[in-house]
Amino acid sequence: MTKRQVAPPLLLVTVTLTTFGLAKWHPFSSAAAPAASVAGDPLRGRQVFVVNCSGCHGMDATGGIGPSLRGVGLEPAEVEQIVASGRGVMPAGVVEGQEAADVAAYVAGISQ
Amino acid sequence: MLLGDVSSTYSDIVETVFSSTIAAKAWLATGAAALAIVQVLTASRMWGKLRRVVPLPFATAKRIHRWSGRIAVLLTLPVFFHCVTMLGWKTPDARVTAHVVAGSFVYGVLAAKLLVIRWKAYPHWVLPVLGGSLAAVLATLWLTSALWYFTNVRFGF
Repeated sequence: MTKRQVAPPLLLVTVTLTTFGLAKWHPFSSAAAPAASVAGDPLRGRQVFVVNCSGCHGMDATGGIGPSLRGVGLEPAEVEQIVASGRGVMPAGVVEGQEAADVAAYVAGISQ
Repeated sequence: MLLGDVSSTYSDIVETVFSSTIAAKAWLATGAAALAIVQVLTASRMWGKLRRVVPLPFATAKRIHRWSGRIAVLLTLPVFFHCVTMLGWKTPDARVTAHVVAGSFVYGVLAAKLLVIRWKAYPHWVLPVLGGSLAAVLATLWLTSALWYFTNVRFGF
């Protein structure tokens, strides 16, 4: 085989493996970083929840595609961790920063 | 080894336009997917197919093909950065597994296609197969991410 015949599949495999390696490493992972202790506002969190989370968890967090969040006893830090990392089919990073802190405060409140 | 946490900076930038990071990624991916359709149509025209569907001169189709491809790649870069360097490889279910596997291939197939275009020393079928594969990978990525987000989380900016 000539160099030109080998080059495209070789490049395909190299770039694919590089992407895979980078994804395994994920060097800028926010989940691995220390969680920022930002105080959340549950009232703003309710608004964030309705916009971003109610599609799966239901308008009143009683469940839908995603589980009910009422009475499950989550702490704000746990909620922030789940929001940052994702869980099951829930994607990571649906909301971030202050919005994540706000929604964590709201969800922690209703989950008690 | 963690190089840094850039999530808040990333969010600050994309949230100047979109309501959240994930909404930004869903819309950027949708833009890329739409341009992928343009790519398939113009490529078909350049290969002598779909002349009635795409009634463009060859040179125009070629120019549109090149520019839509460039813009599509640019649109995927912020999505790639967030997905690959911040979220990383996860396989919690079939949807996410299909997404991360397809995502690993997308730039590999693109690089191989660009190389085949440059060298012009391959069998006639190689370029359309690579182009079709790239479109299929992009479609898989969009179906397993943006479409899922729009239908299960919310449809909006």
